[in-house]
Amino acid sequence: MSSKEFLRQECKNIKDVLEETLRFKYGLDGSKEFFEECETRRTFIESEINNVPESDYSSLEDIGININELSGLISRIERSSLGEYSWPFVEELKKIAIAVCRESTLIGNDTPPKVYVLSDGGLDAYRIYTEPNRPRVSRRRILTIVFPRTLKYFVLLHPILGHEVGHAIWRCSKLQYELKKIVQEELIDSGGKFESPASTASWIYDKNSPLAIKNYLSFLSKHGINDANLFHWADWEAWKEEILCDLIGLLSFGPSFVAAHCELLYALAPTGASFGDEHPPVGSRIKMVIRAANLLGYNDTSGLSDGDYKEGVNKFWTNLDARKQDDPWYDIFSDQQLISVMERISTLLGQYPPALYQETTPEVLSALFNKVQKQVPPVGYEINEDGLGICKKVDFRNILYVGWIAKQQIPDMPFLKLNQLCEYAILQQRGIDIFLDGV
Amino acid sequence: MSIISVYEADKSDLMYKRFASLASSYLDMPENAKSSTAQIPLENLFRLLEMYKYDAFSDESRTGILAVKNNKDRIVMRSASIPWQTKVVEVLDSAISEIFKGTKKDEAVDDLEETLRLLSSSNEIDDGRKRRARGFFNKLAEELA
Repeated sequence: MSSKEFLRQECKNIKDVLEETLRFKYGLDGSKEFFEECETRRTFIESEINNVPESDYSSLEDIGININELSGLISRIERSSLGEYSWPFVEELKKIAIAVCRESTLIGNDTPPKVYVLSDGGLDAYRIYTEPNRPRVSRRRILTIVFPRTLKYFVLLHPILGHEVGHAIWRCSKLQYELKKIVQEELIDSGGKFESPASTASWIYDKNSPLAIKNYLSFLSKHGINDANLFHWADWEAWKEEILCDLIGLLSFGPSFVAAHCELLYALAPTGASFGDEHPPVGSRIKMVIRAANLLGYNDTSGLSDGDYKEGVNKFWTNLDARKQDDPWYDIFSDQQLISVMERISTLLGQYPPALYQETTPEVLSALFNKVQKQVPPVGYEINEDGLGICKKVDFRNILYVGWIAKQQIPDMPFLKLNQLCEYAILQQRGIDIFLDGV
Repeated sequence: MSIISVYEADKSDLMYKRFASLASSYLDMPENAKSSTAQIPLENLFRLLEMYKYDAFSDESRTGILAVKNNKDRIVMRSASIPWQTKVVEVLDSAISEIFKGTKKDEAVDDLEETLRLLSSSNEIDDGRKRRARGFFNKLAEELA
């Protein structure tokens, strides 16, 4: 069989797989749009195979790569199973991603992406795959949201995906342009540790850096990495993008992101000192997010009435503050830099509701908290004095915030149970919202 | 371990060359632009024009927020490679300047994007617009390699 014949056969195989899987059913919204997109990609590849001479090995190799990508994509969609992740959370996350990740395409100026979801192994599975912008055999953009399989029930940790929404936004050309400008003007041109790759490297190799950092640098030095070549290994642009995405996560999910970010990052890097070629030091990222949350006034309890709820809020923020690295070395930006950059990112996200997290009143949060205390899912439903049920809209991000407050204030309640109450609440709130919207 | 490891070089230039050549052929035979497969080259060219308009070529694949690398992963220095879009942008600049003499970049891009939309939706395209787009895509197809 020649290479061309083999590729043609593989194209037919992909058609069979498509017919067996996406042709009929996938997910709550069906699979028609995925089927059509994949079939279009497959047909294009098939026509390219037919146009290529048997002896054009270079083109055949490229076509082989395209077939591999398509085959991988279909397999990922095929093994996506509703039973393996929290679909109530996913439905809310999709609303955010679809609202903000809009692009100009052939069919209009604000085309949303197609989104599908799957679970994968490992705590580090959390991510959103965005297809690249550079040329590829595709028509519409597909976002793949990935959850760790083992954390299916731990909905309180899922706000970490707010960070990944940031990466997805970054792929939209117009938004990338605006975000790049914001970062450049507010975090780079304003001076400090990220003024240039050289200033970042001097910060990392500062003689007064904490011992844990020095130990980590000593580990890196065994692999030939030093202050002069740090950014030949690490990617300074990637570090900036990660910082931006942490801030987008905070601004899109609010306090629940701060908690999930701190828990998960420290779970995998307990010293806070480690960093990677794409990620700046964990301790700096966590400290930046907590400081930014404080600057947003999330920790302000002055307007709250005394009681369990206020106590829970105080404990939540006090405990987070206690997990910040003490050493000022870990501070990346000044307060003013953080305030300015958050103001501008908030303005941008605010144009794409519900992408920007909106604080609600203490009364709403307190009422939700009281429900958790009674082991009832914290939803917008009350019985009034006349015994009549009253439905209210509640943003799922506030349900998650209340879950985290309850973790502090009701220590006897198992974390799994809290997560389940919050997941049920998101599910039930979806029903309440549909009722209120009269859909 | 995989049965083969092949370095996949960035072939963006070649893919755009192919897509530009297809777009040019659709301008000659607009009925071919109606098919769903024709939307692939047309959408890719539209996306390229958007990246060009906003100078938004940052497109690297990122690992997840919690990406854990263990000590079995090799620590590798990055090579000082030329950004993937360098040649494409050069050709876009010269094609715009040659075909849209004196027109502002954004206006030229808007004109081309509108042509791609008209082509993909099978609407009538006037001769002037068709001539500009054909010249532009032919230039891309000729100069990218």
